[in-house]
Amino acid sequence: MGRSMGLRTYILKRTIYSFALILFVLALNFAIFDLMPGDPTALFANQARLGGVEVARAMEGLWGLNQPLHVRFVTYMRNMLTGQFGISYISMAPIAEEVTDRLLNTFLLVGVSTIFSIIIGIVLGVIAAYKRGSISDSLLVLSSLTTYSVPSFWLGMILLLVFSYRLDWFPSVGTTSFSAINPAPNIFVYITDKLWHLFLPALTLTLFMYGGYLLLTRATMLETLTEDYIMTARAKGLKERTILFKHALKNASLPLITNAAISIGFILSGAIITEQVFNYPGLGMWTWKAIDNTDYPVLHCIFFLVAICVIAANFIADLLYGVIDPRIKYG
Amino acid sequence: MTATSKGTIRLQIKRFKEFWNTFRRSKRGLFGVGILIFYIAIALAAPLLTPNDPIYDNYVAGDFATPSWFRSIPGGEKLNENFQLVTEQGFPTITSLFQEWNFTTSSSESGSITLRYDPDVGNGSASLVFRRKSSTVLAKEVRAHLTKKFPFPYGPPRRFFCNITVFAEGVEKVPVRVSFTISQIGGNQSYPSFWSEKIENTTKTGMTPSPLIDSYDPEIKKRIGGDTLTDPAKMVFSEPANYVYDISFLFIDNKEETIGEEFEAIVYVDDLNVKLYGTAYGALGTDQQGRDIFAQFLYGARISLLIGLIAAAVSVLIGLIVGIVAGYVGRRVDQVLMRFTDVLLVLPALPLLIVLIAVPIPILEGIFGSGSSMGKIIFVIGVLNWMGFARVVRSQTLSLKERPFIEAAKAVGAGRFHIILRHIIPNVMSLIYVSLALSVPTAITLEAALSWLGLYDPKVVSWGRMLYDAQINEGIERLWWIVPPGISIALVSVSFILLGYALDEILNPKLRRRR
Repeated sequence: MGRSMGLRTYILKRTIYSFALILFVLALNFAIFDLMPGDPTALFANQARLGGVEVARAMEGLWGLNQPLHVRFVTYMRNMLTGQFGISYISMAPIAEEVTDRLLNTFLLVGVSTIFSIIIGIVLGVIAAYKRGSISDSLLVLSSLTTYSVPSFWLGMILLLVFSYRLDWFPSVGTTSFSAINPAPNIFVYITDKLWHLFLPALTLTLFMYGGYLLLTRATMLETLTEDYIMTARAKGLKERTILFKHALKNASLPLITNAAISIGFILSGAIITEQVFNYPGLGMWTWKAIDNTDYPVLHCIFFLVAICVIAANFIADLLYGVIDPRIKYG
Repeated sequence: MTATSKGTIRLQIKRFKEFWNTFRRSKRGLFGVGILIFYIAIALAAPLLTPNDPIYDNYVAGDFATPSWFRSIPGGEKLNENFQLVTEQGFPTITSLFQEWNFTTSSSESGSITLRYDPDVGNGSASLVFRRKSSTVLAKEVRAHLTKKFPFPYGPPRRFFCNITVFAEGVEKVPVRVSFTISQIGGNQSYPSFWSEKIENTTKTGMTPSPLIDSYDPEIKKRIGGDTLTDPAKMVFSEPANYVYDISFLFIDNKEETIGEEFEAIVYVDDLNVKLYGTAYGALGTDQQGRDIFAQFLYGARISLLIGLIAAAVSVLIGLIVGIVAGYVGRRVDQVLMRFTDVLLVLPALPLLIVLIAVPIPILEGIFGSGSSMGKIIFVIGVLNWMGFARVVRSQTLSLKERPFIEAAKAVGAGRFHIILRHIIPNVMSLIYVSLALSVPTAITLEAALSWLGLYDPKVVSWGRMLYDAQINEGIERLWWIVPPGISIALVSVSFILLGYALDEILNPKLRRRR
């Protein structure tokens, strides 16, 4: 306590902590779904078309559901730690194969909208802080509060209605058009088509997220703008833009980084809903389908991956602190 | 009441006045409170503002009706409101029969039909009495019509429904065929009667069409339109015009063995009604089951606010307990609780929420009952939403613990509970108010998201469920259906956030971050 330690000790400590957290998550992840009363074989047992009770029993054996708890736990741990994730109860395909495309789709969506919302949030936040107390400041704050509070699925529905149903500018489902992949197209057509499909979901998520960054940037900038070195910079006759974006923003960006890292999990929740609105085949739609079908191996995989992402993001944010602000003492 | 408690109350009032004087100066806070008061008012006044139940009153008008006010904008002239041929079923007074209805008969030389008002049958009925002129001469076929004209200057109604009850006496000797139909005056009716029945037995209990004459019934569609794809409502009310409702009575007097007998054959008609379901209704139209969307909106405010407030209270309570215990007890308890908090923070919140709601969990079903899932929704939202607040309370408790006044309390022998209740909690009270205000929007939007995914409580309607209904019934083009609930969720959330910020600025001046 109180005693500051070196960067190396700090990294070591954070690493150990992150691994411990991952182990906790692994255990809880297993417990949540293992204690769930839903029976994944019920689908087969209830439908003679799928083979009825006999097939259900066979599935139970195949999935290892009739094995004792500790054996199932070992299998689960092996699946998670090797990145194999087992086999989906519904599609019967190895999850490791199924997860890649969906993960990429979601990362694309979340990545693009996070980057855009951070840029928009920072620029507008700096403007709001600079013009504090003015009408444009109030409007910016109110609009970001509103878009932040509007349910993302509702926003998606409205965008879908206007830009897809009425104006027909953007597609309403999927990530690619059939014509763009069949016959084998040139890469330019393919990418344009992807972006065309990505636009509305990404816009929804961006609108949903930028408000938080705007408010945070505004708050930290207001604090920074009262510092002495800003006055010094002004006295030197530097351009206002240089002062705002170079001197002030650099120091105000620390909370932004933490916030972006912490909100990864939150953003993924938003992505689930957004994917659902636009029928965008990413992790979100997959999650919903898996929940609907009590496809527990898929849920294990998704929960684990999301947790890893959040933990990794937090870890990176902790380390970045030092890079951006060398004054920080670890401890 | 003792003097001290009177004093305490006076002090509380004074403190509240001071608080209000500060709060009044926060424009945003007042804006938030204003919006909240509006929504709380409509939530409380819902039963006064609408006569309809949001879920159980089906078909208050046709399904997918537009709002009433659409009729006054160009292009909406053909939309119609609900229309009933008679305001009260049956014939409650003699004037209602003879002034509003038209009676014609083709009485022949050998038989006659007279119309009579019968107040004692049902709640008043029209009676058609058949008599032979001479008991020895068969009258063959004698016909009468009871008709009522009505204008219907609109497009086709969404759906129609007709009812009639017939009692008969003496028809063993002279059977009667009763049939009714609606036709356009001056138009070519090219469809059969809605209902036609030959009555040959005395019925005292009353006879009604079976199936009921409902334009949505496939059998009725087949009877009137010829196949199940034709909409009888569109066929009968094809254009704005005057229409006539026509019940015809055909007495068939041809039984040789009854020659020479003196008798009357009587048909009593009661309970007749025609209801044309409107294509326009109320302030916001109707949903897929003809339920009043405006009523759903009003009652939805109740449910959304209720779920938001209670779930926020649950999460604040859990966060408070965990934070204080972790902060005050410290050491290993602190470690365990905080690591557990961390784990919950890194798990994806919404999927976890969906899993816990979608899968029946025996303990929770036991506590909240399996019919209604609102309790479970509130509980689960509350249980997954306390982590951030627990961290804040913990750090506050850690700092409070070291303060001299706690040391002093310890020194005079105060126990843990006493210190927590009397010294820690009062000092984190301001955090509680702020966190409560800021947790409500989260809870409301989470509930809306769950409902929108279809995980709503079947017994109540919330704003999220309205959006779900609109979405799955392709009602998203119907802005009057999706805009009010969506905007309201946003407005209520914004107002709670503004309230939270205003409280934060007033109550936590030391912790305040400039916003």
